Amino acid sequence: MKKILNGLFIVLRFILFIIAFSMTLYIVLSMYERINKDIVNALPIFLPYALFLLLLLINSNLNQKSVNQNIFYNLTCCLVFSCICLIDARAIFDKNMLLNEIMGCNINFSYFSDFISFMKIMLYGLIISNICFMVHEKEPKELEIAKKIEVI
Amino acid sequence: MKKLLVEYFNMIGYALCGIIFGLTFFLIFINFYHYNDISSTYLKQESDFKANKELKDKLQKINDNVASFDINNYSGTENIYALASIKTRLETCSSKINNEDLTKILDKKEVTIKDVYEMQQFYQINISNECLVKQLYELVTPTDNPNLQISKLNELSPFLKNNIEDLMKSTDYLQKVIKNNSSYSFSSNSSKIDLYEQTKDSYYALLNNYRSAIDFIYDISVWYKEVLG
Repeated sequence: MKKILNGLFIVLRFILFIIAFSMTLYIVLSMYERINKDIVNALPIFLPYALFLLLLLINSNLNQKSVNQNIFYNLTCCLVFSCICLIDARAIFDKNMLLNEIMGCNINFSYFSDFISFMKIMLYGLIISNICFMVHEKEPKELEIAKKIEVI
Repeated sequence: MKKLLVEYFNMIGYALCGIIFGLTFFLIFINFYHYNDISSTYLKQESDFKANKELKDKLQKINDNVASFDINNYSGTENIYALASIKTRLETCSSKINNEDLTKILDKKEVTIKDVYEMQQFYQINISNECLVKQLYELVTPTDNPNLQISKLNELSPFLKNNIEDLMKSTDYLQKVIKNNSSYSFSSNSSKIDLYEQTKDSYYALLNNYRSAIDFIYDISVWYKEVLG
């Protein structure tokens, strides 16, 4: 059960990551286009996404069990990306927030920019905790062999 | 030593994860709360429609009071051009306020935050700018205008000045509150939100401003009628 749930969270984490990143990219691109600002200035917003993706690749390639099998970490990742998706969706679709209407650009940049700092805190928090979980003791060789035998 | 270090790192990892977990839940809940707060609608009661009718009746009374002046038949001692000027100003005020947009706003059965914003904009443009500033503010300094030389106007001008200034600023706070609905509302605001239902209470606050402004114009029209004798 725990394994199934964990597997589900890992898949969900990746899907939500892509959705959250795409929505954030769309909002930030629109925002910078509107104020005629160079998109290079938005790099600090996307840096945590890039770092998180890098860690995801490292975790899957090096088969970091201490991270991949950590159900609490995976659940937190899912929650964080769901939260980002929810806020991005509200910035785009919630027409009851009146700045949407007043600015006439269909995206509530004010609401989104309120959230940018929280988004960074959450993503950097996940990155640091991921790095902390990556530090683990190597299993003794005898134990590894015993496990393999058990599997066979 | 190595084991201790690993334990230490794990501890930091879990602690950070826990903090992020809590923060995420906080943000999700506050978003649902915020969504509920701004998407609430207010279904008008029978008494509201009665109040709206009173407002319209008062606007009609302003027109009636003003219509009592006829430049050709006036036999009083006041300057007829000044009286005509005030009549035109009051008529302009009444026509700017009593139009289709106001009817649309007042006749809505269900009020959303957008309607309240439109109502505030109507107040700002038609009542505050077009009527109070462009038409009535000149009555505050009648000595500057040779077309407004009425003996009793000087006594009235301090009252006019105070009221116009109050009415002009009266919806500024509401406008800020309504526009602020696009930002997060954190703890400093939470107690206010508990007490202040954005749509309903802003609607009533605005309605009071409408009432005060129309009462004020009505009072001027009554004074004008008395001046005519």
